[in-house]
Amino acid sequence: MTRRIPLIVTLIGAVLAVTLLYAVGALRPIQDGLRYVLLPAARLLSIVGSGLGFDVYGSDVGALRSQVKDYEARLAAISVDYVKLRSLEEENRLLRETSKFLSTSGYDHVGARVIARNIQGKSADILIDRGTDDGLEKGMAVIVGDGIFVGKLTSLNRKVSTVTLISDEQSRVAASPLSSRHLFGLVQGMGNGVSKLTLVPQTEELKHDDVLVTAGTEEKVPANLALALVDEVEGKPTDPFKTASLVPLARIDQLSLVVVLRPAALSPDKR
Amino acid sequence: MQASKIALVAGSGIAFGLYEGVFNTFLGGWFSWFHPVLALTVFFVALERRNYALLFCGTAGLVMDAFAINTPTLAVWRLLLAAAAMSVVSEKVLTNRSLYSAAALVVLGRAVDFGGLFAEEKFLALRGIRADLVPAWSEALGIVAWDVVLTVGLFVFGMFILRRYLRPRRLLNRYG
Repeated sequence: MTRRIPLIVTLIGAVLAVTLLYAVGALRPIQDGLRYVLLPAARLLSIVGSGLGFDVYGSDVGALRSQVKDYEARLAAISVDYVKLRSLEEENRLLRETSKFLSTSGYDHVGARVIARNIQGKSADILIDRGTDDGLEKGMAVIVGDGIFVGKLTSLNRKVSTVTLISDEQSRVAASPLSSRHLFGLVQGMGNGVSKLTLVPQTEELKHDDVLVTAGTEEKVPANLALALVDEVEGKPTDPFKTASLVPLARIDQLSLVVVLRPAALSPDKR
Repeated sequence: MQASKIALVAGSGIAFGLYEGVFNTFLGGWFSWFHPVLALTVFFVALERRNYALLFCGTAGLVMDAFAINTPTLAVWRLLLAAAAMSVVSEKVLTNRSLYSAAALVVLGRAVDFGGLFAEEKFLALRGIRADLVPAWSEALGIVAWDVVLTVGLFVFGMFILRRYLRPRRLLNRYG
């Protein structure tokens, strides 16, 4: 005759067994296997999910209208600069073409799909479907569109990686102004989709609508990737540093495809 | 437990784990508060299928952990702890299988789940790791509201469908 094990003993046993499995890391291979098998399904769900186009930060019509007016005013103000920029851009393109800049810059790129995201409160992280198998490493820059920097790789698995976006409270990126190209401040995440420029010496000139780019002082983040536009400059002349609120150049709450910049030497083809 | 039923429950666990760990992260507002795994676990607990409840939340938790964005969220551990608490309370305290007891069970389960997240957040903070795991009050209340709505919905569904098509055990005994 078999004796029935009391319910509470079974449940406590199950919970303790799982605690032990976590502690010794025995669940990791199972999770790696699950990631490997379920990654195509996760990609499919992420395509459907991002296609639904939910707005994480809400969409108050009145606020959006005033935002549009603000952007239109800015667009008019910077259109003159834009014409100049276009001519410089064309010149730059030709120069790049002739000197084969990309082939010698030491970077290539890996496209990745966002398969999960955590953009709430002070956190702003995404999970992408590329990992160490694709030659990715911690600290690599992640961009969207025409080279807009959105974050850095902070945690990696074989098949997936976590990107900490620039608005995450833990994010810090060395920044420089587009015009002078020297390190002059730090773009610090503040949560809720907001980031701020800090530690700018009072001697530095900083004004509304200045374009910030990466300074290139970090090992795996190339220089001159667009970061944000300066919104309002804060700080009294007596303060040691200036700060500025920033306008993001990319909608980080609606990312679906991103590009990781990888030093060419780490490309799996060249290993 | 039959092999086919085990496969079905584990398969549902994987599907709902993918929903909660991947798809749900793309939704906004009210829809992002819809976390069905715990409510379905309550359904298994109330049907006295506790092994299935453990299997379901175990597989769902493994998938959620596999696609966790930051630090591992210990989803298996939290969900099993919640299922264990709900099972004990369902066996010893809320024994009447009413709609209210089901709603109370899911609220208890969610409280245990949030408690687990809170403990993990504090543990990581002690080790100098910042992790924003516990949801804000408004979000937490939204999640609980969805839990209750889904549990009630499942029970109404169960009342109409399962009672009609499943023969109670005592009748089986009487008529063979």
